[in-house]
Amino acid sequence: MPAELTRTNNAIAVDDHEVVGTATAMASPITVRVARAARGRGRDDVDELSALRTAVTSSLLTFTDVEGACSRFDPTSALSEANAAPTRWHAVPDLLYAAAGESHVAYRRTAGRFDPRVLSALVALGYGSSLAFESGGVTTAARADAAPTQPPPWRFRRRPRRRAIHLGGAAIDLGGIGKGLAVRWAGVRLSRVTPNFLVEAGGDCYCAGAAPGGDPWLVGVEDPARPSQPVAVLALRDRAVATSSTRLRRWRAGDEMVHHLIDPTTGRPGGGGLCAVTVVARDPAWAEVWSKVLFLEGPSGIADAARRHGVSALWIHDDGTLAMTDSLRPAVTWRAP
Amino acid sequence: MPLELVETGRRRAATRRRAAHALQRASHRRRIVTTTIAGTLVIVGVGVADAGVQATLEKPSTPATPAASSQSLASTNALLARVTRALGLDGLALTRLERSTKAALGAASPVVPAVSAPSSSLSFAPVATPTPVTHAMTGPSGAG
Repeated sequence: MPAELTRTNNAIAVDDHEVVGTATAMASPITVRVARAARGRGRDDVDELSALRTAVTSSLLTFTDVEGACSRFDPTSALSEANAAPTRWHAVPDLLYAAAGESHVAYRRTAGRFDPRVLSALVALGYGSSLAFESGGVTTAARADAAPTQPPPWRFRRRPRRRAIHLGGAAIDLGGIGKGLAVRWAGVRLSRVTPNFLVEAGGDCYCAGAAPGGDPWLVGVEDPARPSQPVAVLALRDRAVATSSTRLRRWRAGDEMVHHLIDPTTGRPGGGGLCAVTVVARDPAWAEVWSKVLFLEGPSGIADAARRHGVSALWIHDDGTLAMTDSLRPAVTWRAP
Repeated sequence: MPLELVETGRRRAATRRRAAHALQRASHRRRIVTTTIAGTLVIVGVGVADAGVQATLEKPSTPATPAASSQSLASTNALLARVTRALGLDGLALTRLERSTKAALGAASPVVPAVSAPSSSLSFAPVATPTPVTHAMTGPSGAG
């Protein structure tokens, strides 16, 4: 095993049916599952297992690499350095170069509904550093009414030869799309050795091929009221799934309860009346983008927006009721009574 | 002398007549007996030969042969029926065993999904079934 593959504290378990790798990165538990081929081929079986273990380890390292380049919470990351001087050009690692460029593509394709510059609003609400959301009861000193409004159109630029980016004058947050891109890139590494795998990264998943046994991968959609229980189960092959939810990242800012899904047009938490939106798409980064954009549409506009953009989605209202697009119904194998 | 000669001649003629007559009757008797014996032999021979031919030619079509075939067919059918019943019972037992094995594996291992079907053939049908075992869970995302 290459030396670089041992530099993180990950774990790999092997049984007759699959190889499972786990790690923690980007403030999320990461799990990679690879379905094994039929056994009993002697030396070929040993070679296959070795290749799978290497691919799983390499895919787990993808998250560490993306975090190192794209985290806004690490003051030494390339993104933090660029955010510190958003009016200048910065030569950046390939991962940040690609992630920033992809976020700008999403900004344009969604007509600005996806905008990584909402970082300024999050900072104003007291979410400028990593918060202990898992323990609950998070309170920040920032006042909710201090959140700034939307800045002017984003003038992001890139110089491919120098691998340089210019943030256009505003710091950005690549947390959500960064994790989706990490899932995408981890999947690319795995697909070189096997067609059947699952990458799960704290809500963002990519299901390639079939699960052990040949059936589709089964992904539960978390019930916001009972996080350990699914509200529905999706059977997926070669599809990504992502969820934007206010269940975890919500806190009290001054006198007001707020969450991290900021509407770029107002600079305020959006999507009132919804508590979770799950999107199924071909690409994990775009599943993440559309889940956020649809969430901000709120209960009255989400169905129309999903149909208009051709997105397969499922959403849960604050009162617990569940709705979905017709295009998602074929993938639902189970729904909570 | 003439009388004696005449008498002698007459006696010789009578003897010749009697001898000729006897010879004629004997000859006639031989012809009849020979013909009778030959005819009898021919009749008996034909009868024996016919009996032999009938015995040879009519054996497959005697009433006893179809009866024996019917019995064999019936026994074969009965055997096939028993085998069919046995195979049916075996298939039923295998089906039950497969169901119980799947249920046991589905309850015990996350590797075997409790609910699985090709996505292309699924229809949305909310039913009150136990929560299925899943491979992953999608929930709040984001980082930090």
